[in-house]
Amino acid sequence: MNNEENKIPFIKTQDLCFSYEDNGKSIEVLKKVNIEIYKGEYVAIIGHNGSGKSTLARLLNMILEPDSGKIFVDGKDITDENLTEDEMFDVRRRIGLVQQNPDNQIVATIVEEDVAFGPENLGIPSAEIRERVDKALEIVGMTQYARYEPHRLSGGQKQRIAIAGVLAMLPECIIFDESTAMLDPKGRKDVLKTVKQLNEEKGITVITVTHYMNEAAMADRIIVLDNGQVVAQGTPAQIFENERLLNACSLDVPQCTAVALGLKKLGYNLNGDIYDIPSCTEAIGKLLADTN
Amino acid sequence: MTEKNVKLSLQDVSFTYAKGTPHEMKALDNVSLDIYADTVTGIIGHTGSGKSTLVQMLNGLIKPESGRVLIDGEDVWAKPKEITKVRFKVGLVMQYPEYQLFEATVKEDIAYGPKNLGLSKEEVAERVKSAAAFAGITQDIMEKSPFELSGGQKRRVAIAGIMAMHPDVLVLDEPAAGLDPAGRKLILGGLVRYQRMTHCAVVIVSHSMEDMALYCDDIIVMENSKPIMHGTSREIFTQEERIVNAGLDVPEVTALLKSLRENGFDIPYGVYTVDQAINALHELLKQKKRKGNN
Amino acid sequence: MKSITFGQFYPSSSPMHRLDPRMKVILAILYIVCSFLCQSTAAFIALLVSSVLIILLSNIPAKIVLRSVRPILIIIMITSLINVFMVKGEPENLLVSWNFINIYTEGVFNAIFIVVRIFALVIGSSMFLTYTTTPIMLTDAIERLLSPLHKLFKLKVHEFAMMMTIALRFIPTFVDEADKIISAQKSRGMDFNSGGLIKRAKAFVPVLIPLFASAYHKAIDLATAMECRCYRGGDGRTRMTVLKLKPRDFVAFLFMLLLGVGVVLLNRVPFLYVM
Repeated sequence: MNNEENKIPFIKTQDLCFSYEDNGKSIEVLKKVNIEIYKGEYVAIIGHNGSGKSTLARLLNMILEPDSGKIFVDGKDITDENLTEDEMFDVRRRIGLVQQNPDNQIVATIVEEDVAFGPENLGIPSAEIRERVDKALEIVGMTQYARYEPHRLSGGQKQRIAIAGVLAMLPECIIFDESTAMLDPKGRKDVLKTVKQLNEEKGITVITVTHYMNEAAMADRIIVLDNGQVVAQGTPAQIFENERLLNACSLDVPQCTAVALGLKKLGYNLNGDIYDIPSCTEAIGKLLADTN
Repeated sequence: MTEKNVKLSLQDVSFTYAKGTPHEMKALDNVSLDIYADTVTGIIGHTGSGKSTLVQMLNGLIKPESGRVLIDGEDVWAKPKEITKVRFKVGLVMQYPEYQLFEATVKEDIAYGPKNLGLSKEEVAERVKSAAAFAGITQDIMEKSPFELSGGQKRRVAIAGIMAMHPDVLVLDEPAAGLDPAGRKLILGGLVRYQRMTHCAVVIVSHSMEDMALYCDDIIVMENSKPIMHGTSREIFTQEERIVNAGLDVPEVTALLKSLRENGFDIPYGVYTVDQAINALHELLKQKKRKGNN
Repeated sequence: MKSITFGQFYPSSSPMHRLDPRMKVILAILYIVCSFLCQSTAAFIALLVSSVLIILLSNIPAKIVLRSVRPILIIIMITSLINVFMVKGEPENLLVSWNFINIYTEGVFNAIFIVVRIFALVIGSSMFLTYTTTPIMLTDAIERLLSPLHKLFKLKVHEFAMMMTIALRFIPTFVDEADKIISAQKSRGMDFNSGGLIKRAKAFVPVLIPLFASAYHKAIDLATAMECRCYRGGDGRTRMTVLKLKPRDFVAFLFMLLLGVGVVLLNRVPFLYVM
C-alpha cells in the first residue's frame, strides 16, 4: 500500500451525490461519498445489492455524472464543466471497467477483434494494436483462444477477454463491478487470480465492487457502503472484526472469521488478524497451542 | 425420518448433446439415482459435470437417450404426449429465473402457472397468496410491475410462480446465484421453510458449498456425467478428501478445520457449519483445559 | 446449443476463400453484370463454364451448392415456363402449335437462358460472398468499400457496419436465451402445440416479452462497455487488421474482366441463337 501521508490520491471523491427519478420520486443512491484510492492499491467496495456500490463504480470513470460533488483523478477535477471530450476519454482509458455479465460486454464476433476494440477507438496505429492485443491476451492467459467466437467460451473465459479488452488500452486502474458474481467457482478463481496478478505484477490499481466477503478479504483495504454512505473503511482484519456492523449492512463475515469471532464471544482470547483461512488458522492454532 | 420414500428416480439414464456431430458431448453417463420425498437434496458438481442436464431430465424437458425416469414408480416418458403433466408434478426453476417474468403485475405473473393448471379463480388466488408468503414477497409489491423490482425480488417472484403450482418435486438451478448474503438467506431459508410445511421434495443445484452445508439434508456430488457420492450432508462432508479430489471446494469452515488439522491439531471430521465449528473447537479447548488442570 | 453457426459460411482454405473480401464483393458485382451482358448461346455457354469453374475454385461440395439453388427452383421453373409459352417469335420458328398454345424457338432459348442466368446469379453471389466469406468479413469489406461515401456524402457507413457486427455478435446469444426462456415457460405449463392460430400466437407472448426485456438490459450493458472502451463513432478510429490486396486478387480481377470482354465478343457469334 502506498498510503503515505502527503501523497496525492489517484482517485478522490468529494461529497459525491447521485440520485435518479422513479415515478416522479427522487431516489438518492449516493449521499456525500468521500473516498480516496491510491496508486497501486487493491481496494474492495462492499455493500448489499442496492447499496449504491455499482453506481459509485460508474461515476469513477464518468459513465454516469454526479448530481453534485467532485471527482479528482490524479488531482484533476473530472467533473469540471470545461473538461474537454478528449480529456474525458482519457479518464476512461486510464480507468477501465469490467462489468458483471460476461455476455453483455463483448462487442466483436472474434476474441482478438474484441480485445482490439478499445485501442482501435483510441486511434492507435495498426501494428501497435496487434502488439497490445497479443500482450493482453497473454497476460490473461487466453492466447490460444484468440480466433475463437466469444459465444463458444465459458463465463470465466469471457470475463478474462473483457479484462484483456481493458488492458489493451493500457489503463492505470481497473474497476471490477461484481465481475465474478455470475461465474462458477473455477471461473471465479481464474478471474481473481488474474486480478491479483495485475495488481501485484503490473502495478495496476484495482477497485473491486463485491458482496463476496472472501473476495474482499484479498484486498489491501475495504470500504463498506450502506444506503449510499461510507460506513466503514479499513484493512480486511479491521472490517471483519466488526461483525455487528456488517450484519447491520446485510453483509456477512467470511465463515472462518465467524468461527474465530464465535470463540471470542465464548470468552477466548484470540490474538492477531482474522480475515482469511491462513490468518484464522494461525490465530486459532495459537489459542489451541497455548491452552493446556 | 428413518425410512425414506423414493419420489423420483433415474434408472441407467444416458444423454449426449449433438450426437453424431464434431460437437458431441456426453452429459449423463448411465446415471441411476433416487430423489427422496420430504427431503431437501443438494446437487453439486462443477460446470460440465452434467448437473444442468440432470435437472432438465427431472422434469421432462429433455428425453433420456436410454434409461428411464420414474415418478412414484411410473415412467414419465410412457406417454410422451402427456409430458406436460410431468412438468406440473416436477416444478423447475431455471438459472436466473428473473428473465422469465412477463405479466403486468407480480400477482398475475405468479398466477400464470396455476392458471395453466386449469384451476378455479379462487384456488389460483389462494395459491398465489401462500406462494408469495413462502418466497418472502410482501403485499405492497404484489400490484407492481415485475420489471420495477430489484434483482432479488424478481428472483423470488419467479420462484413463487413455480411454488404456486404445488409441484411434488421443486427443482431449482442455482436459486441464489449472484445475490448478496441477505438475499441468499431469504431465498434459501424460505425454500427450507416451504419444504418443511409442504413435505414435498426440494432439489437445489448450487456451487456454494456453504449454502449446501447449511440448507440441504442430502447431497449428491456429480463428476464426469455421473453421481459419485450421495448421502446426508454429514456423510458427504466427512469425506473431505473425496470432494477435493473431485475438483470441488469444501465449505470454508471445513477448510479452516482441515488447515488446523494440517498444523498438527486433533480436530474432529464432519464439521461443515460455523456453529458446529465453534462448538467443536469449544469442546476441544475445554478438554485441553481439563487435562492441563489435572 | 453452442454449435450454432450463423450464415452459410463453409470453412475451407480454397483459392476463393483466400481472396480479399473487398475484391470478392467487387467480383460478385462484376459477375452479375457479366450475366446480364450475355445475349447469345455462345456467351451463355461461357457463363455456364465460368460458374462451374468458380464452384471448383471454391472447394464447396456440389451437394451444398445445389442446396443454395433449391429455394429458388420454383421461381426458375415458373419464369422459364412463362417464357416458353408466352414469347412470340418469328412465324417460321414456330415449333409446336396446339389449340391456343404456340411455342417458338425463341421462347425455348429464352427459357434456357433465363435458367442459366439465374443459376449464375445465385452461384456468383453465394460462391463469392456467403459461402466463402464470414458475415463479419463481409461487413468489414462493405464498410471499407463504402468508406469513400462517408467522406463524400456524410453517409454513416461505419455506424451501419457496427450495427451489423453487433447483430452478428448477439444472434447466438439470443438463440440461447430464447431456448432458456422457452424451457422456463414450458415448466410453468406453457403450451405451444395446441389450439388455433391465435391461441398459438398468444402462447409466444411469455417468450417474447422476457426476450425483449433481456435484449434491453444487454443493450444498456453493451452501451456502457462501449463507452468504457472509449467508443466515439467512426471518426479517428483505426483498425488492427489492415486489408491488403495481394497479387492473386488482381489476377482474379483480370480474369473477371476477361470474362466480361469475352461475353461481349461472344454475343456476336451467330451460333444457334442470338437474342
